[in-house]
Amino acid sequence: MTLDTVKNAEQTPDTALPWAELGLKPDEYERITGILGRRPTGAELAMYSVMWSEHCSYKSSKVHLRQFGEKAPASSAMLVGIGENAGVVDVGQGYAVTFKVESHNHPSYIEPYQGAATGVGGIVRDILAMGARPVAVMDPLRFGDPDEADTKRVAHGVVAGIGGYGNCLGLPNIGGEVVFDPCYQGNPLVNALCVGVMRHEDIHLAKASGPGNKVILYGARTGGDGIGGVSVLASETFESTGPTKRPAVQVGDPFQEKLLIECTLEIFREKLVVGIQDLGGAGLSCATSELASAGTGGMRIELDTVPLRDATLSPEEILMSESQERMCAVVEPHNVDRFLEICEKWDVIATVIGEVTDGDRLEIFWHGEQIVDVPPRTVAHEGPVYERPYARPQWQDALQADDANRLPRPENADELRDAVLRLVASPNQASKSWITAQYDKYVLGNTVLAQPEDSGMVRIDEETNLGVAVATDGNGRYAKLDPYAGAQLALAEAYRNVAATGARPLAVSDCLNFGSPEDPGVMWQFAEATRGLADACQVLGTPVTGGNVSLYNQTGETAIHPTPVVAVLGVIDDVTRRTPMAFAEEGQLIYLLGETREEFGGSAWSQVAHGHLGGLPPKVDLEREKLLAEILISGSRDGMIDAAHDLSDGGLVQALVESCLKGGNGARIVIPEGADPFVALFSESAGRAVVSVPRSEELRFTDMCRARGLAATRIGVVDGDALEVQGQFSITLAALREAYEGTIPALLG
Amino acid sequence: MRVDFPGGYAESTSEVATAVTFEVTSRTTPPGVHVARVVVDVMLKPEILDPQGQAVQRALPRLGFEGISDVRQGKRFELEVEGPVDDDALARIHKIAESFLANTVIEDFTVRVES
Repeated sequence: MTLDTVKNAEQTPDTALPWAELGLKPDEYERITGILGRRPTGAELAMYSVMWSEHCSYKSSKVHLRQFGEKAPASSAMLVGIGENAGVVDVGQGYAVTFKVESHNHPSYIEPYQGAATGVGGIVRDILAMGARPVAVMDPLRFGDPDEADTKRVAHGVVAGIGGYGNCLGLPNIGGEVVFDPCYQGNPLVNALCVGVMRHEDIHLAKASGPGNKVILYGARTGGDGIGGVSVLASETFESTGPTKRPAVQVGDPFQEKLLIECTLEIFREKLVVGIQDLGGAGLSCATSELASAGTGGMRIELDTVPLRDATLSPEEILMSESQERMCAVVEPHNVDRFLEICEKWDVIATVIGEVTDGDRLEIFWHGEQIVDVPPRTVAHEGPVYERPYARPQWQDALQADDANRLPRPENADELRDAVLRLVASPNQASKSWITAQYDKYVLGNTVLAQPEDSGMVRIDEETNLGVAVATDGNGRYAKLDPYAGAQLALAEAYRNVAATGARPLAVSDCLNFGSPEDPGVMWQFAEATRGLADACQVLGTPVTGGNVSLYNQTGETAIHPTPVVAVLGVIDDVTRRTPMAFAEEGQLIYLLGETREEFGGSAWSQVAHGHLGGLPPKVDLEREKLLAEILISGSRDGMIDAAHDLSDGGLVQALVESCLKGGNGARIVIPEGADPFVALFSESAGRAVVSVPRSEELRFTDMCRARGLAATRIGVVDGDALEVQGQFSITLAALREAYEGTIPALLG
Repeated sequence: MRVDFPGGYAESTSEVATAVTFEVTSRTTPPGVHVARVVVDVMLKPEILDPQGQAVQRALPRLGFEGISDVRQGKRFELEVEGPVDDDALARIHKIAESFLANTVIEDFTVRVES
């Protein structure tokens, strides 16, 4: 095959290139030729086509994501904001914590195990590249109809992949959620979150500066993983002498990643690195162009030095490869030997593949011939920006008018009792421990709280007991009814979850999963959701530190529910004071905090009892959420509450069942005077939590709530071995447990 | 190489190996009853990363074995088939291999009759 060098491109301007097959639009191709002043070489075309793809360039979402920066609340806790591999938050005592949530949706439908495994690998490397030791992972998951065989195929593979990769890496999986809905049938959502810890001075950024500094590629060999349309280059325009390359599914190797983690941390400890980037989507194209673009601007790479797993790969394919477990570091010349020595010690392949230059071009050579000569900024950071049209869907008004509050309700105590059992046994409300038990929650020995607790909490300092808590939430049903409110409710819920465990929310990462941006209705959902999230972050004082957008989650005309997954990170001074969810002590008083209204739009009950999605989601009151959080945190810190559980899907009754079962104690509940029992138990009004208060603390606690203006209603006492709602029903813990714990094993076991 | 005799098996010597054409018998059916064995070999597709094979390859020099440039590891399934191995049976086995024994997204398989 003739190598398409820069010189060749200059001399053969009329050669047709398969830019359309690679996903570029005519105006984008024209822009590339304008930037270069000639036609691009095959390798340059490959780089632009993948870096300007939706996944890498965020071209449809950028204009909306800007709000996260523009509306960012001032926060003294932010050390690194949006733009880097992950955001970094100051948690006190000289520690910084970095976290991010990302998606790996489409690969997980094709090959569930490896799709999920490589999703975990990728997010862990992002955290590692910031300079942190990864300490925990979490996985928000969405699957299709649980009765469908294909759902089982995907769910089994994904859960096994997350466990297989995370457990072998030695990282505890401390939370996440699993939601089933037919809208995710062909488009499962596999979002992966990772948290890492470091000292302030360890923060590393992804930039290449200092002409003469070396660029080192280390980690796994490069193979044909993930190469898609690049094979077109080999077969369409240029002579192809080799076999057609199939797009190879990326396979993750957690043992290689563990070596990479330890190797990298040792390199960090010896301060050998000027800049570092992990290789994820778009592989070397991304790493080199981003490092160069963020740095002083110039880089020279000898591509033939890249260690290969497959010697038949063409230069284009090497640039596009998404082989896993690779990182790219920029190292000063006098540190190179030591860097390579450390890699050798850890049995990690490391190769000097190039150096930073004092120009402003990214130049790539193949056996001495130049095949790439581009301004890196145009590849990495100045990709296309679309202003996609958006319009509120025609059906939105009708959907909102289909009021769930009018649905037929249980008419007597027996029907109410049945409704409770059906709710807690439904797949979305049932216990997920069959799934989460496959993950190691305790490896590393610092896990304080893990699923099903409200947040995942890890200790980061053994002497002072400083800890961090993370929660993820994202109710797609609420967001479908009203994307603006739905995004705000997702943030409110995650915020509330962190506070319920006694931690103070500090920062946000988001994974925005939506349908096709070419559908104006979906684009409207996206615009509304980002606006809602940005506005809510402003009020709550928790800035977005980074995140991910996954678009094109749709099969044919059917898009998934807009599913903005929001992760909130919080800090707790003393993990021994954390508040678990279990009603552990008989005799303690159960208080309901917040106010309950008749709000069934998008509720779990409406889905379970009526298969219904309509009306408006619960009202958002962010000031109320802030107040509730403060009460929960003060209550936790000062020992006024022994348990807390936030209310969300399934309302009060779900929270009570969960807290009773976890603690192994029943509860005797009295519906407040004048309140409707069904509404009290099943409504999903936001801004609420239940707490268990020791009798000795009752006065102090209620005084605090009264003084701060938060409604606190005593609704019962922890007692017995049944959940008894006075005048309505009594269900034994045994019956509740059978309903709650039997469903998922029966579906997936 | 091992030779199966009815009632048990014995380690063969090279003399036996050159002289005998041997009959495949099952380890679990009574001696003298003929069964057919079909072997399905499953390997990762050539472009897929094989961490297990790589681990084996890296270990070889440490154990003193040089000269091996690549190792790929797969799975071998031995299926003992009731009845004749005709076209129908082979089609069924092909289906078993394709839908269950191999993950055709990342693996290839071959089906071979041993008799």
